[in-house]
This record gives sequence, C-alpha cells and structure tokens, in this order.
Amino acid sequence: MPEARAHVEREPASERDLVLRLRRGEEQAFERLVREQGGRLLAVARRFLRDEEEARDAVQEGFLSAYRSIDNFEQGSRLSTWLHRIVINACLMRLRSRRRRPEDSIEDLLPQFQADGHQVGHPTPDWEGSAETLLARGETRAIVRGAIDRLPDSYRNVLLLRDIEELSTEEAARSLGITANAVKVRLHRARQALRGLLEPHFRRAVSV
Amino acid sequence: MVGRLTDLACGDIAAGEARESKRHLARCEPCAGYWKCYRMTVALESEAYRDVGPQEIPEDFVRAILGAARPLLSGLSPRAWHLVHLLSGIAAAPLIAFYLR
Repeated sequence: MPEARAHVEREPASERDLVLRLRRGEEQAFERLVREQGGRLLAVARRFLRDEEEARDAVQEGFLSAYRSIDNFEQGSRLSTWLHRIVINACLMRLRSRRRRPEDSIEDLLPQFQADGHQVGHPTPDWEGSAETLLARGETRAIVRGAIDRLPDSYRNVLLLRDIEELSTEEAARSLGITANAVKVRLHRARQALRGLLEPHFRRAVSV
Repeated sequence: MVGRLTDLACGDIAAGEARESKRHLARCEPCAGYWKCYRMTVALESEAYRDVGPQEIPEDFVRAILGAARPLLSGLSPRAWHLVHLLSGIAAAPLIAFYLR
C-alpha cells in the first residue's frame, strides 16, 4: 500500500472547459458535473454515513459547496479528486455533529503482546489461501465490510480514509483534525482489530 | 516488533530497520504468520467496497440537487453570488446591531 498516492494526472481539456463553464454559472455544466460524479460520490458518502438520506444530504451539500467555491479550484488538479475531498469532509462534519455517544473501546478487539513484541498466547493461525482466492469467493467482501462496520467510528473513519478512499496520512490528518502520527496509530490499531475480526472467517481448518 | 511491521507495511521505516525486520521475519514463525495475516487484512479491506453500489446517480437525486442549486444557478456566477452575499451582510449589519441593542 503506497503511503500517498500522488495525483499527477493532468486535467483533461474537457474538464478545463467544464470548470470555465461552471465559473460562468452555466446550469448545464453543473448538471453534467452532477451526472458524471454523483454516483461515485454517493457511494463514498454511503460508506461513511451508512444512512441513505444523510449520504444524499452530504453529497448535495458537497456539490453546492463545490459550486460556490469553484473559483478556488486550482487548475492542474483533477475536479473529481477535489469533489471527492469536499464530499468526504461533508461526511466527516455530519459524523461529528451526530449526537455523541460513548464509543466502544477498541481494546477488546486488539491482540495482546509480550514485552518483546511477540503475540501473547497462540501464534496467529494461518489463513486459507491468498487474498486473491478469498476475494474470489462471493461472500468475502460482505464479511470484510461487516467487520469494518464493527470498528469504533474513530478507527473506522481512519481506515476508510487511508485504505479505501486512498487519502495520504497528511490529508487524512487534516480532514480529521488530528496529527499525522495519530492517524498512523489509529490505522495500525484498526487493521489489527480487523485482522482479529476476520480471523474466525478465514483461518485454515486444522486437521486433527 | 509488531509496531515495526506496521511501519514496514506503510513504507514508513528506515532502510536499516526494514532489513532488520525482514531478517526477523525470515527466522520467526509467529511474526511471519502475523505479518502474512496483517498484509492479507490490508489487501482484503482495500478491495472490500469494489463491488458495492451503483455508480449511477438516481434520477430523482439529480433533480433534487439541481433544484437545491437553482437559486445559485439563476444567472449569477459563483463570484457574483459571493458579492451579493457580502453586500447583503453589509446592508443587514446596522439592522442586526439595532436589534441586538
């Protein structure tokens, strides 16, 4: 997994034209933007918010906010990447404004380690096959998504931002208002917890 | 060791430490097993949403967004709207000040 996926793609001419038309306030340009990017952004918002209505509100908010600040869009970057970040921030704001309830601790999901760094108790059982063979099974993705949903929100959000939405550590830190180091720690703990949650599903059956 | 493995997975590790970690993995079966499952976890979760969700936006939702944007799109460019908002704010300020007094 690369630490940061640099977006070096150049802005295509059609996109440059779209931005110019948006800056002139053309309704057809805005509609084209919504039709081209809306489905993908709605899928992103659904992942974060897990509520259809809230996801739609966040995407709508994202489009309106993007339109209002289209003058701040930097030529040379990708419109899709810019919109993606705006919608993610809209989702994170919604998550923050949801009534806060005490989050479940992640500690129970984490493995225990000895002072020398080795895992306490039984060594990690081997998993069946490879990630590719597991992904070929129809139910694997649903199992993994179910496990991700069991993570406490502050860990789940970091995991989604870094591993699914492919934001860099620094971008994730900025979006969440935490330090880059805190992102790394949460990501590490989220992956560890996830590994523990997936283990019962994927460990190789031991022959007696 | 496990913390170092995570840095190894993220590529956030000095070359010397990376070599040392890999040497350890080559001779420590429990850590090698942990490392394998950790990497598989990352590979699985990175792919977990690839098959999800329609990538097309529902038509009713397109209409809702366009409806909500209509006041913004009614002939004025985003820059002009900023100016309108600024001027309305300035115009409203004395009224708000009067009301608050």
